[in-house]
Amino acid sequence: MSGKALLELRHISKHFAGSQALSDVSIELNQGEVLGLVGANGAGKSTLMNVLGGVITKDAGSILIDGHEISLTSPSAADRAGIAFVHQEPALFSMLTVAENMFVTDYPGKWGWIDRARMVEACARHLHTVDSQLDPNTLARDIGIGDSQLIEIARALSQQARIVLFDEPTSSLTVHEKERLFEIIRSLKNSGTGVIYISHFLDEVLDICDRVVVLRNGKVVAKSPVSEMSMARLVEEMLGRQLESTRQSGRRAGDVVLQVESLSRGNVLRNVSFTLHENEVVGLWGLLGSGRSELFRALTGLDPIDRGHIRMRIGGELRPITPGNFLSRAGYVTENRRDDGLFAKMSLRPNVTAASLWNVIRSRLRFIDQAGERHVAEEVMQSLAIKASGPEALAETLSGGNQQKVILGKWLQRQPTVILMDEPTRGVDVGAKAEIHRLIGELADQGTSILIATSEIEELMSLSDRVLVISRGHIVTDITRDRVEQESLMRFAMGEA
Amino acid sequence: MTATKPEMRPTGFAHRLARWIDWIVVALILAVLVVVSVTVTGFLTEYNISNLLLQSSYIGILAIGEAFVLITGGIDLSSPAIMAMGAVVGAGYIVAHPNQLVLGILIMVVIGVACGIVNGLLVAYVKLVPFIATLATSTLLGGLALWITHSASIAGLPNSFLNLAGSLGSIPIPVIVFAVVIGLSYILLAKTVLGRHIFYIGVNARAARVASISVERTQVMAYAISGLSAGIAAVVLTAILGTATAAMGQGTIQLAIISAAVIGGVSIYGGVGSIPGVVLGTLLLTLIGNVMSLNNVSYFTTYMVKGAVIVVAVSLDRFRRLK
Repeated sequence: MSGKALLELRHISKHFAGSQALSDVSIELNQGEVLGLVGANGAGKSTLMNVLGGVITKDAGSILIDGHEISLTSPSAADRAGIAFVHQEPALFSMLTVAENMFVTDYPGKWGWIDRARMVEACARHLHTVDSQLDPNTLARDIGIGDSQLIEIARALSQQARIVLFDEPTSSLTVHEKERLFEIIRSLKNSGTGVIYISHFLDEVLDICDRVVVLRNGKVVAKSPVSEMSMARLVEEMLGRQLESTRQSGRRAGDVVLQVESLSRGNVLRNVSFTLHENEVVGLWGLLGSGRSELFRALTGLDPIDRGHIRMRIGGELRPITPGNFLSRAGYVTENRRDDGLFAKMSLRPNVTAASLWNVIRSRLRFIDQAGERHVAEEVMQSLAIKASGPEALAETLSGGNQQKVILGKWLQRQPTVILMDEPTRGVDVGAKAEIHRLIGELADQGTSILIATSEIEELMSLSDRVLVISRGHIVTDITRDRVEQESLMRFAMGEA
Repeated sequence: MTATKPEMRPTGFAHRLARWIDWIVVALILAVLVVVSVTVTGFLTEYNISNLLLQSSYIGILAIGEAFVLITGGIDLSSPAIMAMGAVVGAGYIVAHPNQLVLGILIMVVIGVACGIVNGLLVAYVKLVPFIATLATSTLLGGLALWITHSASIAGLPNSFLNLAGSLGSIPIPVIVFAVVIGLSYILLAKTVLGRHIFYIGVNARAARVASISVERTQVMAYAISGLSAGIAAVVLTAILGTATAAMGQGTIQLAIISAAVIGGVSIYGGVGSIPGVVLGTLLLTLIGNVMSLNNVSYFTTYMVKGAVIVVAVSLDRFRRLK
């Protein structure tokens, strides 16, 4: 490396409630360089992006451009510093035109009047620099994702951006659009712009980037020119060498309790079929957008399905069950507990009984037995080791881990045959995470069948007896844990099987 | 292992205020009561007190119904119109059939429930925004009531009906009705599964749906309860006034009942509220009106004060959310 780096990140750290999102991250980017940034879900890529974009503030560390420290306290500060973003699916104002979208932060004109002619002319000129023939007067809703990204790139160029970050730019592009994008990235590089390229697709990273940085659990674990990197080593660095730590559960899967056949929903879920057994934890592994959460929502009747059959063990035999009735015999710990799990403004007591009020009804007039309810809440607090001042503690005052236990406790009141869990330990501190893992193990030992979606490979490997890999709405493989290899998981999940 | 986080506890004036808000309302009522009973001549007369309670009775009954809807996260702008509709139809029937008093009263109540159910269906199944749905039904019913009555008031109600505004012992019957409504609605909201469901969907409708609570059915029930309360208020107010008119649903009643509920601690954002709170809010609001009219405060000043009270009440609701 010669001279000053264009962009330098020194010892950046960021802590969120319960987790260290970034710790001591140092990265430098040179002029005319394409730097690849890879890592599994939750490795800290988005946090780093948001720090650079001025969306969140770092706890510690410094950011330098041309050797001068800058402060990124807002998105407009990042703009002024010459940092631009190209998103996976750019958010444009669908009812505004291409030109209006391009200049949305800075309309040409005077005294609040917009000079439309100048705007359209400038837009066409900038689009031309990225070889786009798009009409500036087209409505944004009528153009595809590839063209939307071009608008973002053209906007970045119009603002003389010197650093452009691409966040998963190709995941929604056609082959042709992808080629075109790579051409533009190469010409950005030749004109001296620094590019940071974030992607799950490691072959692309190896193809387009000069150097690559690997993040894992908020730390930089590898930095190297791509010429010294291989796909296998990248995967190893991304996932860590945790495979040896898998313990034998000693559980033996029992009878089939859930049978799903050809579940389909648009192109989100395509012919999903699998079975779950008694005494079994099954991991559902897939990248973001692979259909993990969508599968759960379809099973539980929250999203409509086009076709498919679900059978559940009821009274000793498998019987058909509709998605609408699925939750009467199952639990569902949702991905985002604040959105659709927790009754934050209520106390722990009604939270725990929300899915099973019929257990605490005293008379035929449907009166709630408040003493009985408090008793249930106390029992749940004790058996799940929930730390709270008492059953009347407001749910929103609990820590993330304890909130998650409250939600789990709510479903356990139904004595479910099957429990679905979507990222049950997200945003939960390490101690609470271990406890939730222990609870999941205990439930499976007692006979419950658990389907758990997680993007953390360690969690997947330490909990699951069996792993289903989902990619583009399709179950691509179903393997027992001892046969899982991390590299194959990643390949399956990326749809390379 | 992190324990509960004490630093999450917000501080600052607004938050401290938020924690004490409900006691502040109680203290305000007591303070106003003490001050006016000492300074305002004519306040502590039996006539004025019973007048105050009579006014509180129908406002309070409407506000209680409104509270059920507000707690679900909705709003009902049609209860005064429903009340007027029930009143003119029921009163018309009673005038025509003076010996079928009970049936006439039943008509008022049933019209209330039916209109409430229509509101509920519009909100829950047609998925209209509650504000728009109930504003529309309110306008529709207002027009209908005018059309039925040809803008005239329905007079000539038999004494058997007018006696409902009389007293049992020394307590006015409307106040007794109010007390019964308070008791029953308190039990319904705080003790039953339906009441709990109303809170669940107000706090987090999506979580309620995942827990297989029927959001739609609960919404319909809440609007039906609001309609029922409008029907009961129709009986009470018609008896008090001695006539029924389409104009009963006009004026500032709508704002009065929402502000009574909000002053009493019901959140217009849903999920929070209690019946005792609504009763206190109603008393405070009618007290202010009563004192101003005793002091011969002008008509437009009264409006201004009531408007200011609403601003304060809704601002207090914001503070409460910081708690």
